[in-house]
Amino acid sequence: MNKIIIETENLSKVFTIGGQDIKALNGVDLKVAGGEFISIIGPSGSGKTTLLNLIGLLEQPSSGTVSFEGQDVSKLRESELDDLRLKQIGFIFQTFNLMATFTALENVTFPMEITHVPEKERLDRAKALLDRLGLAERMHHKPKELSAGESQRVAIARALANEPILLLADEPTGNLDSNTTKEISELLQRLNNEYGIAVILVTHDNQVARAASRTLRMVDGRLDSDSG
Amino acid sequence: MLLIKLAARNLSRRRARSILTIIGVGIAIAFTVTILSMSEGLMVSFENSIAKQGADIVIVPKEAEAYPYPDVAAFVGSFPEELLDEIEQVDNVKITFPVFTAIPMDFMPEKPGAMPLLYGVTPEYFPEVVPYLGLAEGRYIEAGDEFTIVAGSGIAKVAELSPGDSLEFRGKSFEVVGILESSGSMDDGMLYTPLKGLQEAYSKPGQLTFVPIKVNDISRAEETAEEISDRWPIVSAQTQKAMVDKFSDLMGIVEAANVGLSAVALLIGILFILSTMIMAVGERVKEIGTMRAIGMHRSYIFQLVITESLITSLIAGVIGCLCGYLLSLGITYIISEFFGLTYFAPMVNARIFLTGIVIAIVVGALAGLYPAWRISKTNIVQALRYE
Ligand SMILES: Nc1ncnc2c1ncn2[C@@H]1O[C@H](COP(=O)(O)OP(=O)(O)O)[C@@H](O)[C@H]1O
Ligand SMILES: [Mg+2]
Repeated sequence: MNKIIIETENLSKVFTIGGQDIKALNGVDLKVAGGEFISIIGPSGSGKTTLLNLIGLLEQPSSGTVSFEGQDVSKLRESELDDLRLKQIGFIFQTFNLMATFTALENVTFPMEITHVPEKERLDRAKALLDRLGLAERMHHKPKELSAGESQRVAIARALANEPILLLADEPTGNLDSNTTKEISELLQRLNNEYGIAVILVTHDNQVARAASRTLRMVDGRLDSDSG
Repeated sequence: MLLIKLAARNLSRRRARSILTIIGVGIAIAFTVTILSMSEGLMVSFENSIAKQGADIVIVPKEAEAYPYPDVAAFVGSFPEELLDEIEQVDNVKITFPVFTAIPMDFMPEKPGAMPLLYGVTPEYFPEVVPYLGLAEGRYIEAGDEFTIVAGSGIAKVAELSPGDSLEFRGKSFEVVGILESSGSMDDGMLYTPLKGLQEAYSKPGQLTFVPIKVNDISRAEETAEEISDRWPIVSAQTQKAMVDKFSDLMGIVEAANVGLSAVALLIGILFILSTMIMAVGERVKEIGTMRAIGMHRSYIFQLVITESLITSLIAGVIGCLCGYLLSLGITYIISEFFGLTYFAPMVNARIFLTGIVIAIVVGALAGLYPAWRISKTNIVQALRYE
């Protein structure tokens, strides 16, 4: 088995709204190995997004720990967390979240500009990625000129730009029709196979979840494993 | 580079609003530049005229003590010319130049911009007191002249005077015999006549309103002026230096008003940009959340917003300076063409441009701070959930 890249221990997150405590996560233990493809399913409000946000280093847990490649991330400074997200983690959102003023190509080169990849290499890599994802003809289009499926593929290319080891996708097919949904889940599977990149996919679509090698079920802030 | 590119994209995305903001801030800066250049022009023209005049001391009626200028003196009163015989006896006084000034009412009703000051002088006045006033046409005032006129360049232009024309004051007809060259000083607005003729026309024979004096020892001018003021209470004698100082005091007030005005421009600029920037970041919460999720540092977002604000204000600053400059040229044209007041021409210089640009930079930096701080501290997860 590959080495563990993400490990959570007794991970909890409590939100307080109007004096009321909501336990969004309630003691989650999860290990993700390099190159693994995990899907997480569960009812709305069960804590899937919260778990992904904690693994994605977007916020801090109320208790418990997240370790990234063996390093307890609570010990890291904010800018170090930024750098980990920038270089090691790719995010895919339900609403694509592309930069509206940028073309498809510029959206993909953008993360590489932040990491100061030289321009030539940046363009080559972005074009190769877009080409791979079947977007060669769409490179110079702005997001509003792209279909939903194309937008999500651009977003995936952007997530891959800095060659991360982990891809986090929160309901990436939530805004797509069934054909495109199938296309995107197959694409994630292919990327997982070809690049050996670990994927955590949150979905409420059992069909989509089947792309993963391991499916976990989230209920009331806790994980039950279905398989693996 | 990425910073500038992102900022420029964001500005052009909200193009209409950016342009309106630039216009608003630009107008504020243009007005500041114009006002600054007008007071600069006043200052320079003063240095060109009063400060350059060949008098060490001037005498005005006591009533004009606070503002010892010939036009003010013409309004408030006069004193008899016999006084000069006595004053010339004062130790250190070398020579006096008798002057009677008058302000003609309804000079040329069809040319309301023509507002000359009549200056009754003796022929020595030109070489001795205003040696910088050259002749463009005709001749100076000569001994034996009675009802002649030598016109300053500004008033000659506005009133379209040339040698041979005649002008009537209080029923007396004066013939234009000379036109002076432009000096960029207040002298350009004067109509010079022989002293006696003007006194007679205004029924003030033997009366004076203004007397430039030369002394032997300039270092004792202050004492001499004091002595004259003390001995003849109906007049006030002031040194050239005191007049310059008085003018500087006046300019101090103008300067203070300028600072106030610049502050108002600054405030208007900040409010303009602040409101646009608050709106702009408010619309981009989710996008900024995404950039943070991708790994962009908080400080980079801060810089991005400040950069957008600075670009807006700098463009407004440059445009404002240029418009202020054009406005100054326009004002110069109007007042010289229609009023003949060459000496009140606005002066635009590097210092004024710099002030405009500095105001722009301060506006951009200050107005960007709050929106930049607010958006950069936004929680990433909340920003991503924002719709
Ligand atoms: N920022 C927040 N503030 C308050 N409550 C939140 C916040 N984020 C999530 N929650 C609550 O935590 C619970 C889990 O939410 P979430 O992780 O979004 O669930 P899921 O993604 O499975 O639908 C829900 O009850 C939700 O209302
Ligand atoms: Mg969710």
